[in-house]
Amino acid sequence: MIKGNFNIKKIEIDEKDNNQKELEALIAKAGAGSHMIFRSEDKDDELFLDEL
Amino acid sequence: MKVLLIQPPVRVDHDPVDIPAGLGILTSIAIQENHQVALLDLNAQRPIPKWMEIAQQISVEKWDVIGIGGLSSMYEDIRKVIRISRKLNPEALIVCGGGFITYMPDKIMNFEPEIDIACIGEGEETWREILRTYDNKNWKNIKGICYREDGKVIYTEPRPLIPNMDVIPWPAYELMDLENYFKYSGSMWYDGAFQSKRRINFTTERGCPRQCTFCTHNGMNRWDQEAMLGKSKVKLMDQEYGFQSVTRFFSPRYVVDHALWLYENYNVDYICLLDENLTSNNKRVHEFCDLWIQEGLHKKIKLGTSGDSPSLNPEIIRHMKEAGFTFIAIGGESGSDKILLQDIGKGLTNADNQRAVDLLKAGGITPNMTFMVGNPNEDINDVLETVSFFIKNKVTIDPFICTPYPGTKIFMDNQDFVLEQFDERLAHLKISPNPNISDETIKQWKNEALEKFLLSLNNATDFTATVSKHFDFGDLIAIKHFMHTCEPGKLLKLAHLRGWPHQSKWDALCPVCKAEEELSVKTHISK
Amino acid sequence: MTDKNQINVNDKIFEKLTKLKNAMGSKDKDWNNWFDDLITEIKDDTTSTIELIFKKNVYEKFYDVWIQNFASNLNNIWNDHSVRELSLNNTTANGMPSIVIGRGPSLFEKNHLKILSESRFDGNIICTDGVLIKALESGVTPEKFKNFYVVTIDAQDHIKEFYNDDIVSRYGNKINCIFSSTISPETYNVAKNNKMKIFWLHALFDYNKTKTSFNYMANIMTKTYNHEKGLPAIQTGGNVGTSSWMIAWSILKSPTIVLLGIDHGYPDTMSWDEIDKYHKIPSDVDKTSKSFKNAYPTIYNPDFDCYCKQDPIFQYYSKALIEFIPRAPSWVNTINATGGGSIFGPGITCMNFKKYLEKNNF
Repeated sequence: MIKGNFNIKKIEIDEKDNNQKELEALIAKAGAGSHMIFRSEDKDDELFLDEL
Repeated sequence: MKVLLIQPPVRVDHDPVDIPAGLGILTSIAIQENHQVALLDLNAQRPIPKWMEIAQQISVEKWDVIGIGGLSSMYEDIRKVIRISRKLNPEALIVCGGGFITYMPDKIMNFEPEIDIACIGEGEETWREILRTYDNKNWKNIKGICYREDGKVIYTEPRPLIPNMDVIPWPAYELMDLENYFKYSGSMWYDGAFQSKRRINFTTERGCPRQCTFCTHNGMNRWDQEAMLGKSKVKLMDQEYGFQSVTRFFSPRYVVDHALWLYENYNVDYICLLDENLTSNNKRVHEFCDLWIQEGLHKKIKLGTSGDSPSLNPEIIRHMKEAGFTFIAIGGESGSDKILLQDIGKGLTNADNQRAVDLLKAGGITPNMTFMVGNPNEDINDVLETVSFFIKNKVTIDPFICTPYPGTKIFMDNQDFVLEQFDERLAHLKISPNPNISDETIKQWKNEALEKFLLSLNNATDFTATVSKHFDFGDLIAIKHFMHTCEPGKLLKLAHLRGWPHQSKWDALCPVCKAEEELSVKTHISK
Repeated sequence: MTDKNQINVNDKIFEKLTKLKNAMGSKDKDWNNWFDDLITEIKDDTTSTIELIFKKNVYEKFYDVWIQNFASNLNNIWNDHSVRELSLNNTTANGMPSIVIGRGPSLFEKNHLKILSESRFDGNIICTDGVLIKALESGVTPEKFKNFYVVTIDAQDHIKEFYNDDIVSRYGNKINCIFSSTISPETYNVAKNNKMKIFWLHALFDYNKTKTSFNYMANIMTKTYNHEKGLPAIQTGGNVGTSSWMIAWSILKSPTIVLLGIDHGYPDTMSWDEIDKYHKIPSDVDKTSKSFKNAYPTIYNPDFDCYCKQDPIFQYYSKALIEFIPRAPSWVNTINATGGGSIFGPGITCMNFKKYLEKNNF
């Protein structure tokens, strides 16, 4: 997005830094509730269905 | 020093069709002044970046100067960009320019304490001088700004218009994401532009000879200067700096060289000359077309532009067609002569518009016309005149809503009415003045209402203030819809529901009148 | 910063920057390194990773619990009301505004319950279960606010404690409960004992129009008696706050939904110890690591001009709600009146709560 006529420091988005196991452990211990976000192939069905 | 220019998002509900040409020029100037310069274009992609990503991008460096600019309709996003910039760069010099601040620098400097310097009007030379003055901060000698000092806002002498625009550098294309913009080449829904693959838009003109009441020119022509400074001041500037023009053009050579460079470096296939009124100077159009054709560009790059109805004639159209123009956009505005002459002040009539359409069609260039609804004195009969024009020419046009943008004559003539729409107390006081409410309090309410109005501004398609004496905003949304669908019957039915009288010449189109007539005949027969 | 780039700041700015630096856990860092840290490395990929982790986690821990709870609740579902009944008198033409009350920190910091209790608001009050007792204690009661709802979706047994109080008993018969079909039967029993009126719906977990999903099977079983059309089903967004927002427009047809206490984040001044009370932070985690910063970012809210800390759970909830709000029908207007938090973006109007009340003569 940003472009310069000099060497701008790039924002390093390093996949390796996302330690998935550590993240999993954090989430498991944090004590979230019993629900998750519902995802559907049909996006129109993702928010509300009057009748299943 | 490190200089950042930020292009805020514009028309976010549409694809991005315009490169940041104005800011690109200022970027070029900063590069010419040998600074480390970056351009952050927040408009290049859709959806626009999330605010957290924007903050990340701004915080990659510590900036000495941050330049942010844009139109009044972009104010809501501009202010967020200003505030994030200040948050992340507490010590940077923040300079703002463009229409959003040019017309009311005092108000904007008050609403946005993060702004250090406002660039008023034409900004190229002002910006260059700001950069050169950064080290000693002696702002008072720079024309065309206001700046803060000891808690006050200080104004300097106004900046005269640049007499020879050819000194202005081309935008810094190398710092733009052009390949991203090329993806949206076909998003410009004009004949020729729609089929383009690598389109660039830029302007070759500043100002316009017409004085439409809804229009301004970002402080870059005589009409704007007179409105901001007064006629006497502009006459003094004429004497000191030369005549302050209503319209200035880059030379044909400048434009052709610019286009040649774009073709050779970026393989551009379409250029939209986003001039306010290219055809207003017939002589220059002929010179430009001659040079364009001479350089062979008519075989390489197609063109589109804007003009006005009276300036078109068969010869100019023939020449422009030969040069490769595929469309000319004209501000039709209204099908009603009363509105064109009285409200809009465009100096032309419906007959001129019809003639222009006929000439363009005959000449093989697609006419594109824009229209507006909600002009101050426009009633249902005037609306129907406009719809009649659509029907006659078999066009589908979604009209804009007449919007009192800051700096326009319709804003200045209706300012109190505009503010009353954002604070009911002001509307009430107009009817029933209350001596117990101080002038200071009323001034504060007006300021708050102004801020709300500015934040409501959009691209003349959605709710904001109206200047219409006959319609409220709900009416205008309905009328706009029925104009788009070309349904005069529904407009007439609405007129009956609202009690707006319509002329008898529309009776044949009016379902209510027709029903009444039919039923009264049948009653008569049955009797 | 090198000497060449050394800057001077005035005391006020220095104080603000110091406060922010300390709040981000960088008290012992030098300024150069802290400015580097301002470039956070959060991006969408992190949150989609979080979504996948959540899905796996929740399925493993709770799938059996959903089925057991649903089986226990089925008889009551058959004999109680469907939330569809609440839609009968509420249409898009006459829908009332709703205030959704979550239990985020802003609710208490900004005293929103007291402000609400003293207002003339006459729309729906939709209380998330965790804040029911506090709301009633603060004067936000069904005697003052006639259209009073409380929502529970969580399947865990401890949720019953949100209903297990004298003040809930006192107002119980005037409170409408909206329950997911998979809540704990213990929660149901406590609510029923308090004479609360129960309306059921399904929470969407895995519905995929085939015969293999839990949602499909639960729906068939629901339809076998009394509920011919089954129950409406909502996206929960993972939490009761987002569920309440869904209910406000999809069931109660509210054209305006005001969010209180739905921060999905913490004020940047809140300490890690206080945050730990909301969602546990493992004691052995390295708070200076990059992955911790990814999981616990500090974000800037431009609409309320404030910073907000998040944890992985609030990142998950917040991202979803910010995505869903503009996907609601165009007649729905969502106002974030928390005064802070992480809910901002397209389709979301941020406005202080007092301003909302004044603007609407409440």
